[in-house]
Amino acid sequence: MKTKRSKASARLFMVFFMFSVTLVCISVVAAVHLGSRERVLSNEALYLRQGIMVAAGLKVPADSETILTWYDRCVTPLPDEENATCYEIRAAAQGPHQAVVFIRQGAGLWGTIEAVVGLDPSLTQFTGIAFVKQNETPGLGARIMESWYGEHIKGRVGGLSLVAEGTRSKDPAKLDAITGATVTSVAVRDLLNRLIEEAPAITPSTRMPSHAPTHH
Amino acid sequence: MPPRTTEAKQIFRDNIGRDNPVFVQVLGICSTLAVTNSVKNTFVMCAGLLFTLSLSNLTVSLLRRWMPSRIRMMVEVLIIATYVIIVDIALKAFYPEIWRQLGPYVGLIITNCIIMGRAEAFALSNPPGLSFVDGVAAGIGYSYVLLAIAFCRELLGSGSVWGVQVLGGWWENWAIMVMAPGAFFMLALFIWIVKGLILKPDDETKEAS
Repeated sequence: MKTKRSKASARLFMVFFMFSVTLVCISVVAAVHLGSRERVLSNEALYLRQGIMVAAGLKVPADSETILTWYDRCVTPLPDEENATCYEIRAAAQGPHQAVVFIRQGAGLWGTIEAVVGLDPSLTQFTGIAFVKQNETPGLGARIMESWYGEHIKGRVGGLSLVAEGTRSKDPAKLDAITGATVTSVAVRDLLNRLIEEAPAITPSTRMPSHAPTHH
Repeated sequence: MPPRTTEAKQIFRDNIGRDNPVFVQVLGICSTLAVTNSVKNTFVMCAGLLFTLSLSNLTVSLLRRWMPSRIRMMVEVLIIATYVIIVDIALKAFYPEIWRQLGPYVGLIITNCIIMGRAEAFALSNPPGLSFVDGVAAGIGYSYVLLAIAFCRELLGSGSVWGVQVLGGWWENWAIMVMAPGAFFMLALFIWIVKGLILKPDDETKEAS
């Protein structure tokens, strides 16, 4: 009888102990999460705005305040089939159209690659690219984050095909692959080719007025 | 010298030398392969592991008297996961660039065998102070090996160190060094050099016993 009771109390203690440790751990994680939430959200928002600037082919200033002000004055979200995945960009508030920027996704090696891609107002040439989400292999596929890769995409046109890394072809329809990262290179190529095919349907050039935006 | 201090010094020496978690116990190899193609990423990974290892050892040791042995592994994993998530959130908030580059590898610190190994082998049977020292020492032992490998891999594979280009245009990057096999080669070379030239025979005898 005594053994049974002590076994039951030992089991009860195990449950109580596990429950208490879990409660403490969850509380600590929740506190850290809530304490840093604002900062994480503002980092994400700033990163997206920097990405839009890079994709539009503009130089990104070091000061985050300048980026936020530029975004409010010069970026107009356009209606898309999804919410806010397409933006009309001006270099300055009263300036001409610089680019149309899209947020697009493709299947990488380890997960989804999300990129902010810019096209010129005629929707035929890439103005830049910034990758906002990727889980590619560090040192291989993750090299799409390196600045040379984005720079290399600038000025390319649709119907892209891959060539060996380092070729830097003058043909605007040839894109350097990344050595040892075929799946990632193909994923980026397909994402770009698909976008340039779909862009006119999403954003007909006739929908792009030449005057400055009236809101923001 | 008080016995505790002597013991702590011995623990430190062992974890860095003849009981090193990487080149003697060959633990934590997944991250050795994954992140050592960049010194900066390796440094952040090592800092994260050092933080998690020392604090999880301390916590497990503090709870060891009350922790029922049948659920000890669940509790250990829970404690380790908590510290890893804290590292992940801190990186996301304060070093978002590095957090993006490391991707899923920060979360994978949870599965690093060194952390669970030290909690089971040391923290469960030793006082909190010594367990903390053991965690720090094992973390340093892991870190310097990884940083040495990362230095060689980044230099040979990308011609740079900490992202700064040090080898000129004449240098042809060794693509294999940034791929996983490069890490195997470097680790094997490291183990060969350390065991062949640095570890003395009596150390190896102790290790075998």
